[in-house]
Amino acid sequence: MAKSFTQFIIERGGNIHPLQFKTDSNGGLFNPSILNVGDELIINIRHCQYALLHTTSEWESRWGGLIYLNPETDITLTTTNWLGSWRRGLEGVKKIDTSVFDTTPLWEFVGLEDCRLTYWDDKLFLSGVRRDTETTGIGRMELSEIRNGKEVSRFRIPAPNGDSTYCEKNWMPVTDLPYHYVKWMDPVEVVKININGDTECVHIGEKVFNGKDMRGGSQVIPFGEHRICIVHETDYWRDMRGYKDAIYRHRIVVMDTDWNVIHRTEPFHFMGGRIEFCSGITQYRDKIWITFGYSDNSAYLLEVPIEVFKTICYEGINPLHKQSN
Amino acid sequence: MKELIHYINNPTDTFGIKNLAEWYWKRGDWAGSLSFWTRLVEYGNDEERYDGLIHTSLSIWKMGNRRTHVKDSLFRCVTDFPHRGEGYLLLSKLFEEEGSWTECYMWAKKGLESPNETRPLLDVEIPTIEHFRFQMGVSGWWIGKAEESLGIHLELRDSSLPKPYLDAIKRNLTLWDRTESEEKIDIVLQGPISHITKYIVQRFLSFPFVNRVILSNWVDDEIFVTHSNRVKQIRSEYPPTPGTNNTNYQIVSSLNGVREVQTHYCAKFRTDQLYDTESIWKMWDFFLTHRSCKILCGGIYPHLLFHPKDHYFWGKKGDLQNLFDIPLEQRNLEGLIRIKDRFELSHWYNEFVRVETYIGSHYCARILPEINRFIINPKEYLYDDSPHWKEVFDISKDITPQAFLPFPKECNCMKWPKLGWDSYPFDEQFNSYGERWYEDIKKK
Repeated sequence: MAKSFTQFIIERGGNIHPLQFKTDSNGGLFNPSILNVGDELIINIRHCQYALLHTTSEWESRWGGLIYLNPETDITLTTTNWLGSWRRGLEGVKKIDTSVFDTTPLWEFVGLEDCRLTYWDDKLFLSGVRRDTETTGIGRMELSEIRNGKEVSRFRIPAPNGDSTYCEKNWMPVTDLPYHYVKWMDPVEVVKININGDTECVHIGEKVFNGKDMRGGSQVIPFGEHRICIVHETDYWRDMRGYKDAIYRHRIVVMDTDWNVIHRTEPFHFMGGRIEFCSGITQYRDKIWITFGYSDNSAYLLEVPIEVFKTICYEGINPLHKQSN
Repeated sequence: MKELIHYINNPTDTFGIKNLAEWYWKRGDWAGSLSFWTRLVEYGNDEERYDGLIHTSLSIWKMGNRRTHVKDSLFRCVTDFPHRGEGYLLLSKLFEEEGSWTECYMWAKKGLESPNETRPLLDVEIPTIEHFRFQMGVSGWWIGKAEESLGIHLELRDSSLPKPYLDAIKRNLTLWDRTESEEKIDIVLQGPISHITKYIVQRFLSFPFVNRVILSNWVDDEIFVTHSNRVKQIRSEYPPTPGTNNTNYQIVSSLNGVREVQTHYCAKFRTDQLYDTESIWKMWDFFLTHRSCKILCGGIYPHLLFHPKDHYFWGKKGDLQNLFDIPLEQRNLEGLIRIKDRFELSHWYNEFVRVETYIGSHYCARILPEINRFIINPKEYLYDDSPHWKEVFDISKDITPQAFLPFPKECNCMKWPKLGWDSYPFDEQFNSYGERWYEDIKKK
């Protein structure tokens, strides 16, 4: 039995690469996204000025086992995004210039978080959540067009049904359906955004799994006759002293073109970590390329042979529960 | 990448975890390495756990500006592994970095007394007795253990410590040699005892060029308690009137303090201003190369009449005595009208002589007796809007530089809690008040 999803893939001819480069300040590089644009693999990597210290209870600190090590003179969790491309390795990585649209942050979570790459109407977009525009930390998905490493437009997406919710995050852009997102996975909820207008809910399926929330996740990409994505589900709890702790697990979900879920894998972890997060998937030549972050401190790119991926999607091969062939 | 593949194939194998931690470490990716050093702590045996804890601490340390977490992590090292020396040495260095000398000394001493089992760890110094002694020598200087500190420096100067340590020892000993060979000076601290006076006294006593500290306070000030025989306190009677803006208080307390000086040169400071150690060293260096017949002062205001900054003065005892051995101010504006604070006083510069001008003009009159004419009739010559101000200004431009030489700007770093200054407001002083320093005068 494979010890992790990544090991399962590597044993079947896949490969893994660390996404590592020098930034302008210390802190974690994590939650990368990837997209095939015109036969070029574009990668965005999130950088934050904190590092995450995550330990088991025996070794936890006085503030618990899951703590953000932010600079003592900067209590914010400030995100910047770094864009590059992948050929034989990571190349040409540069911090995205967001200066035209940036304003003084009003909350501690600063910047566009957990961005997914998408390419709609011949434009490259980053789409993530921003929570720094109001003093209450209200979060909304935003869509930013990126041209030559610079943000050239920014649209704060209203939530559907009156825009009255507190925090919207982890919507998964549907790469082959411009301005559509899968907002929620159980039930499947698909929304269409209108730039500078309202957000419409265009599909709500039936709740079928009744388990933990399944949320984005990677982008939703076409895969043969279907669409696929990778979602995450989270176990949150408080330790005996009341400090927050969590474990993230992922699943691959296959949907038909009518948004019916036709398969989902059992939950898996990528590398044996407790905090892992996938925000990128794309098809490129004969492989599926998946990007994920580990413990908010490092980022990885996983190459999956397409035939192997198909066995997981269509033959129900479960990476962590079945014997390897 | 083999380290990553090995880890993925064996995510609880500590050899693989450590290799992956080191892969990130060697690239200076401290956040990346942190995850895996932490994992080594969780899955390793005692030896590996210690390795993981030390490198977890260092990863956080190297990220910078996260000292609380570094300390917590290192405390865990010495708590769980008291027989290992690296944690003690790193704690001592961490506290050294922030100038917490007592803690720096304490952890070095604890390390020295620990069994100190050593095995090499990646990029971590193997602590030896000499390392701990060095830390005690460096920190001891600042916490009243100057003699021990000197002894340790002498003991270690031919030791097998790495070059950076030996260089530091050499540098420190050079300072000692220099100051030992120079004559020493007395420091006069004038004014009422403030809540920071004891720190100011301690700071001056830590300088090897200081002979004694003379506290010149007032009769109703508390008796200054100290174990040092290098502190002398005198408590003067108040003058009949304070003088405008306490001019007379400064004159009397400064003069009585300077009279007690036993050294050829001396310096006068206030009891409520704490100068940075580096600044005091820079004053000393500047003083050694510029002491002459002039009095050195903190700054100068060339656009005003005979106006040095009066926060501190350095010079020959005789010159400083002359500076303050002057008649008391007879007119006391605060005795005539109600003045809320010093800022309100600044609205009345047309009605009295500024303190510094009062003191400066008397001293300059020793160079040019004609200035006495201005002092006798200040309303005509020395107030800010005096009818003959321009005439006096032309003389001041010529005479003041003959009497006073300002220190460089870098000598003025200080804290002044009374005014809420956590640092000296150089820009404001330059732009709004016209203060100038040695480098500005030299340019002209």
